[in-house]
Amino acid sequence: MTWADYHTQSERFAADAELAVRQGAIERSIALYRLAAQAQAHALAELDVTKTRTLGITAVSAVALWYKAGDYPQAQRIAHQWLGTDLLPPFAVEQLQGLLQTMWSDLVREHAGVKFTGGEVLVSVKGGEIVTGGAPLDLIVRKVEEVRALFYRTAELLIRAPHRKHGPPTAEIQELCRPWLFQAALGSYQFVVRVQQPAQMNLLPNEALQIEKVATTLLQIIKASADDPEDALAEVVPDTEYRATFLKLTRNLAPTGKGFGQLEVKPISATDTRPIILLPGSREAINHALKKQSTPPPDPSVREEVQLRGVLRALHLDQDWPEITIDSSTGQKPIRIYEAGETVEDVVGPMVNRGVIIDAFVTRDGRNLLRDIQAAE
Amino acid sequence: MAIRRAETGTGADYYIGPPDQPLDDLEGCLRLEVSGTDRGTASAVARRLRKKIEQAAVGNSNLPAMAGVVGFYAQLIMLQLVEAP
Repeated sequence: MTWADYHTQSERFAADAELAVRQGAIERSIALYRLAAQAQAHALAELDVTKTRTLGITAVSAVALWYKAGDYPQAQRIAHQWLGTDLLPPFAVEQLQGLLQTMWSDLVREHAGVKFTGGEVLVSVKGGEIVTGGAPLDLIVRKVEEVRALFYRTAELLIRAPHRKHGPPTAEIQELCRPWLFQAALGSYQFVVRVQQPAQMNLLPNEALQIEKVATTLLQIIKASADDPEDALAEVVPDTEYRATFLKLTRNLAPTGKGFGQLEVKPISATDTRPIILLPGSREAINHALKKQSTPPPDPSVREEVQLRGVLRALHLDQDWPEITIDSSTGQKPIRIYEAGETVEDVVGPMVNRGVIIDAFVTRDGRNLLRDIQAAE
Repeated sequence: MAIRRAETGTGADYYIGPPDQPLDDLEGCLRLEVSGTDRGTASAVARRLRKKIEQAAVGNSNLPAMAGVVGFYAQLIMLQLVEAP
């Protein structure tokens, strides 16, 4: 039999296995995935190794099928065997490393002794100053804070808590939704976030069900914010205040292209979801959506709209006259920005002492009224 | 024509090619990267396609590929070839 014969056989078994998964016949699906993996391994053995692209696709396919069959030792053996050669194209190397990472993550979770909710989120930061396995500490701390803020906001959305404008999430939310950070190996700088299962005695059954969905809902929100911030996001997040906050939190995650060039978010245990990639262009699309949503000039005395760049030095959102002071490009010139009361703390909090871009309306008496603020780096 | 499918860590990729494409390997096939939207006008479909092309070309991608978006509301299918730089 040729590569094509074995590959065709593998395709048929894999398609039947998917059907069995949809029918809930898990044992049958595992047996079919095993047959598909065996056929793919035979296809790999029959292939002319100078056909680099076909080799890479087949090797990834074989490892993925052993993984889906639950045979991690076999999947890892084949992955290591082919990663140990110089025969694979770069995309296949990256995908095999990703599959190994998924398996290691599964094993770590099994041995952790802590119960987690369904789903986990892999965040990887690439480009710019990022090297494999290393990144500036302040950048990563900021990204971790931003991801944590998104988890809390998603939990609040799911349990239908009122939209929070100031302060941290309540102690109840922090107890319900406790994100854990795991290290993730290989490629760029990566970390994995899972949510610990809350203690059952503290929960109403409905809340427990909702918290189970935090990771998957969060991924839906980030995907909608990145792909279709104007329409698709409205379906996932009908509430306009929540929607604006999620858009701003997702924009915070996206790169400007200076410090890093790409941020990727993906589930690492699901089998049917592709990564969500945030690029500098994602910021522009979100800015466009936010501008369409934001209200027109609140004061008829508004003279013009300006964009200010500087460093956010102070933030007093609880005061009736909130104050944001920036360093202007001409030196240490504090500028007070008014009417920042609608700005939510977890969006702007991480920006303190960092470069920011502020869109403001300027009134005839020279006051700056905040329209939007985003990180400049 | 859809020629073959192969598994990845995140699902299955489909490979397409012209009707006379040889079936004994995937060297000349295009990986199909497609999604759909049931909202938005033609410009929204085009915007989504640009984003899809941008994503398909990032990093160590398996190229060449065909990126496509099906706009159900706009009644429009947009496809574009994504080749290695």
